[in-house]
Amino acid sequence: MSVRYAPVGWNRNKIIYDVVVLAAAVAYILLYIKIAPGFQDVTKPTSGAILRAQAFGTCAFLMLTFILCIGPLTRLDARFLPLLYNRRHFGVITCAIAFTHATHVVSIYYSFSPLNKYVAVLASNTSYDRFLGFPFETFGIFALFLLLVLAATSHDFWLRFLTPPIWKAIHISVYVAYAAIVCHVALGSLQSKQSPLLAVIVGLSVVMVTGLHLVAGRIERQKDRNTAESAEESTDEAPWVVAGDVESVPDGRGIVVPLEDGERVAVFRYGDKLSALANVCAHQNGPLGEGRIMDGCVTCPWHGFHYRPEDGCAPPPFTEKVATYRLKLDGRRILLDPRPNEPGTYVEPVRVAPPSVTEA
Amino acid sequence: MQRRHRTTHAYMWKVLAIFLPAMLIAALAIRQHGPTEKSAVQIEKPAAETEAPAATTDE
Amino acid sequence: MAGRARDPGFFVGYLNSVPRPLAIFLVVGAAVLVGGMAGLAFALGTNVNDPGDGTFARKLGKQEMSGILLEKPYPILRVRPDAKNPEARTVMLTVPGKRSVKRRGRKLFDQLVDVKGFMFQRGDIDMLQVQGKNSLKAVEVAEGEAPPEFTPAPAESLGRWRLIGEICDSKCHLGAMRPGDGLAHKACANLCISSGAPPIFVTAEEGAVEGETFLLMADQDGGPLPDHFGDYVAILIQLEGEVERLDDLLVFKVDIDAAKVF
Repeated sequence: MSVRYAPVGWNRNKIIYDVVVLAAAVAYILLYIKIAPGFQDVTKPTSGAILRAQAFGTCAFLMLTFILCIGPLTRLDARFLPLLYNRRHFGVITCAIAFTHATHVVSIYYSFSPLNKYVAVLASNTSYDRFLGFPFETFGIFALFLLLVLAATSHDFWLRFLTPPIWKAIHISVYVAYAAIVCHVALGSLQSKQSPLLAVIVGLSVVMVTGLHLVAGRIERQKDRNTAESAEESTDEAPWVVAGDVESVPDGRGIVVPLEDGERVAVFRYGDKLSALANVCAHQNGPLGEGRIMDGCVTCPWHGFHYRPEDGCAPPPFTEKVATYRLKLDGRRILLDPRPNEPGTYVEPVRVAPPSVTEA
Repeated sequence: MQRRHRTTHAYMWKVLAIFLPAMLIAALAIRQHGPTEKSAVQIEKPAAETEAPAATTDE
Repeated sequence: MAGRARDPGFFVGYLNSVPRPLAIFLVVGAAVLVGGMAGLAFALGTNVNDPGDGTFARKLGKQEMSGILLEKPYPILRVRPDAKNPEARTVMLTVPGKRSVKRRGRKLFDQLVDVKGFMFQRGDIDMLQVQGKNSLKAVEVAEGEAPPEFTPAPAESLGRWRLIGEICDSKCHLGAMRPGDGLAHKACANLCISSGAPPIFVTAEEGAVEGETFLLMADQDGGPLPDHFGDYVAILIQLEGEVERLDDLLVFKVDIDAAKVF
């Protein structure tokens, strides 16, 4: 996972994932440019190059819509988690399709003039002072630039090099790219199309992507509000908080405990032991508490990164570490010291009675 | 840090939830539907025909 | 934590085995993605604008004509009637690519020239793309013969008109691109016109002048449009100006700054 960088660490699931994404893209483009023209109600057919530009452009937009839905869908239903696993490949393929759209447009609309074609892209329409006729291409260029940056930095090498917080901050700009593409379509193609279909599809995309993010955000905010209460009978120096009952943690799984300061802690039970780790995977900030114990390690639900529950260290040869937390038992209540230990600090697991049969 | 990330997400989508529909509605509002039923209007007859009344509609 | 009652299984990407309930869910999801994309492709791909009947009429073969080459407002040829085409006509001119005839014709304006090339046609309007070696040259006069005489009919004023339509570049609109109009094509139209393709004003059938839905554009003095014409291209506008007839071609002489945008 992290000791050495291969261009792409292939495995069967990634290959299947990519095949499905490519199949969807190829099906879309072939249908658009080969089959659909036979059913068009036109006096003479649309120019092939324009048809291809339309096909690649709309394909990239639709694929970006799907990509942006994956994140919030995983918050709503864990079965969507596998879509997240290889989302970056989905993104890179989408970027390549958007790039193909741009090259088609440049080669038909901006070539063959005395002006350099790339200069022509910027110089041909300068009506920046009006809404109708605004150079909508600018939005497309901006979005494509962002997509290219994201695709170029999508590899785990950049994630490590830039550190997850910075990498995440850069990659959140995919939302800006989406907004720019919506503007690009709204002020361009949408204005020219006689059929309302494109407007309906763009509208649905906006409603779906925005709606899912708002709903998922609301759920997360509610979780954050539901912070662990402090345990009144704190006898020692630690500000213990109540993480939950022993019974609320199924064997081999974790629960997520939101703290006052906005952090979240994952409390895991494995056999008769309980351990607590920061909920944030060191790889891509995945929610560890929603993972499972596999081979004795906490396994991130996003990309399967492993951490030993007692010290938060990835097993050798891997080097990732997350913070650990102290736990203690008060009857059947699990108490948590909300002050994180340095990542990788060993904490003796708390022993509980083995899980009852009904829980399995 | 984790919360900051969530807050940024939530903030961005609140902004986009207003901006994107507004953009789409504005774009649809400015969409031109040609007033094709309007005829061409002859404002002035050619000089040669002289003294013709102005603003005669052609057909 | 929802749905714990029916555990779909836990997916770890690098482990090849995917729990069965999850695998079924994913196969259905993949089918929905591929099928959905195919459906959308068909829906969007069939709901395209009708780009009209503009075409690059290569199948008509190379055309030859002679006439007076005019520079303004944009290069046009007042075609001299001959046995094959007894009607006088005026044809807009272009060259391959987004370029102007002006360079090739700079020493030939206002002279009788021989022109060869291929036609762009849309409806009853056409345009000649000057193409090939020696395709634009002064009419050759055999020694001892009198130079051929041809005086085109003077421009006939049709009065001042208020028209509603869209400024397009003649070349794309007549068939170099389908569609060759609308906002998606605006930058291309701007580039074509600024590179020398004659701009035309395209009206709806209902808004035509004497049945003509295409008018060559000019400024009020009969010269080319001012440099900032681009703000008004590819959108529906109302313009006022004098309409002149040059044989079968109408010329619309406008003050573009007085354009009213709808």
